[in-house]
Amino acid sequence: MLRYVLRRILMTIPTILVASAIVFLMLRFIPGDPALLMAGEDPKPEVIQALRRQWGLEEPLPVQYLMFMRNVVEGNFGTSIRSGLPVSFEISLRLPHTIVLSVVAMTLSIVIGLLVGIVSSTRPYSLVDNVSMFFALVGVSAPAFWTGLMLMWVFAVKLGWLPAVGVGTPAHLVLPSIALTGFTTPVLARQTRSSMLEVLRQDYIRTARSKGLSERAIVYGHSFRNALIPVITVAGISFGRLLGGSIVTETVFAYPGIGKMLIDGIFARDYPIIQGAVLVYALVFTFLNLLVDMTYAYVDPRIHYE
Amino acid sequence: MSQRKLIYLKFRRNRLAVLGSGLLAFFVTCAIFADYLAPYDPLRADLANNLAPPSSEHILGTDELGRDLLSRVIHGARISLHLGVISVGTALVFGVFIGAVAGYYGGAIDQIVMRAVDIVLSFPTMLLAIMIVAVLGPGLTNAMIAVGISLIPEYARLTRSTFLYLRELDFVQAARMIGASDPRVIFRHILPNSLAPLIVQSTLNIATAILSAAALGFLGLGAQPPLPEWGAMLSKGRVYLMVAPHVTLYPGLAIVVSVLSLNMIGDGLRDALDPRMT
Repeated sequence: MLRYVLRRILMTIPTILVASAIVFLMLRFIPGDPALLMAGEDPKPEVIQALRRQWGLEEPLPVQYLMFMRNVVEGNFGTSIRSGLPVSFEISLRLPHTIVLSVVAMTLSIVIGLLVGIVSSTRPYSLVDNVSMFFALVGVSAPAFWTGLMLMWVFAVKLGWLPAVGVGTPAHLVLPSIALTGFTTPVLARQTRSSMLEVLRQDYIRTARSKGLSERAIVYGHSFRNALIPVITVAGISFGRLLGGSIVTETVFAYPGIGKMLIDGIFARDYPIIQGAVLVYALVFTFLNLLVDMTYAYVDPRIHYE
Repeated sequence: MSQRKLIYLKFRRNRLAVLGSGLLAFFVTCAIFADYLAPYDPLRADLANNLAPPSSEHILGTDELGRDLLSRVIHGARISLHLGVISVGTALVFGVFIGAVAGYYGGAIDQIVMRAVDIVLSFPTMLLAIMIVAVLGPGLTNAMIAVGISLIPEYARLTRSTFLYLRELDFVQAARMIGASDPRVIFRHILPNSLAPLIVQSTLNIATAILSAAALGFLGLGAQPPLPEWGAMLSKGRVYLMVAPHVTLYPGLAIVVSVLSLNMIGDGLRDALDPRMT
């Protein structure tokens, strides 16, 4: 397993390098002088010159990329055009919020999704199963921003039970996380159900039953663990979708996370912010995939004992 | 009984799939005959009558500029379906080509191609689409391009694994042994047999494409006003949520039902084409 782990960690390095290269190139694809783009409106000539030097815009492209990477490693993502504050500072203000929201939403997703999936698989084609799977289908078809808005309308506007926008209290997290889980919970539930059905059909389960093991021991002890492998893969992909979905959800609920920062940045043409936000997302996502693969290595005995 | 007929009958037995087909037929009709079905001009504003709740005059009410919501939703079907089909179609062509080359030739080509695909996949799909639109600028066409590009990696992966499997089978080996050229083997032998998962994936991808495009539209990065794209309509109506929820409710419902119909069909196709369940 150690070899797998080391190899996997090594693989992330080229991924991060290329991802950062893409982010770097992104800014330079936009028509216009990057220094002017990053300086904002009506910049003084000294400011433009300073920017040119800092990002090495007079140098050939590969040198520029190296300077970009050096800046990134030093934590210098540039200065926001809109606020005048360092981008790294803006990120540090907002990243915790996004992380909290994502973690809460993902945990909810996993707990509910797995439970529903297991229950459904133990009573296949029953009313519970059919109803759950139908709702799962609807959940997957509804856009997160619409469910968010509808939830907002019912719970915040009409009933006034929960706050609609912003952060501050745990109550502020409720609506956004429910909206976010709308897509991932059904996916996890469906995958768990089909994995479990697959496993429950196996001979060794029949053996366990004929040995007289209790149903609970069979389901949770034997079947669930083996069904877990594809579920983990799907969970990893889902977390990625969740991160992407959080961009929209944060906008809907005016939740001050990285997603909202990115969108605000795009409309304000605040390119340093856009660059910073995209880079953060790419890094977090890569790290996440790494975590998922590590979990995989731990759970899948074929890799574990390699 | 032919295999095709068997698949068709299996599909028909799935009630959800049939329901989905009916709903999709309804949407496609709306999309094609929007000009005749819509009671009003979707772009005609009537500011005196804006944010009107559903009534006998305007079945779904009017939006913030007084335009008839029903007409806009019907025309929105045309935009969404158009968007879905074109972005998936383009992604299909490019993705299958890439995956086929990687899967058929294997070796170094496979490694390089798949590494490239993995790197593109290191960005969450929504983020990728947003990045592309941030560079290209907002608009319906750019949204189509962005969504299309974000779908390519999935097709490449799928085609590659199918090709890796089919390439080893006897009939392919036989064709190569009698000297069939590589393109011939790919197009005449392997590709026709790899269609099933591609069809299922494409149906589900059109659903995803509609959702992604609606999200872009909602963020203001996709179809621009006054185009009646469902996501954009939701974005405009959002401000009036307290006083006129219908402006947000109905376009959203349209998205849900159209995507749902595609998902139902996709699931039904997947079950019908599944060789194990005969």
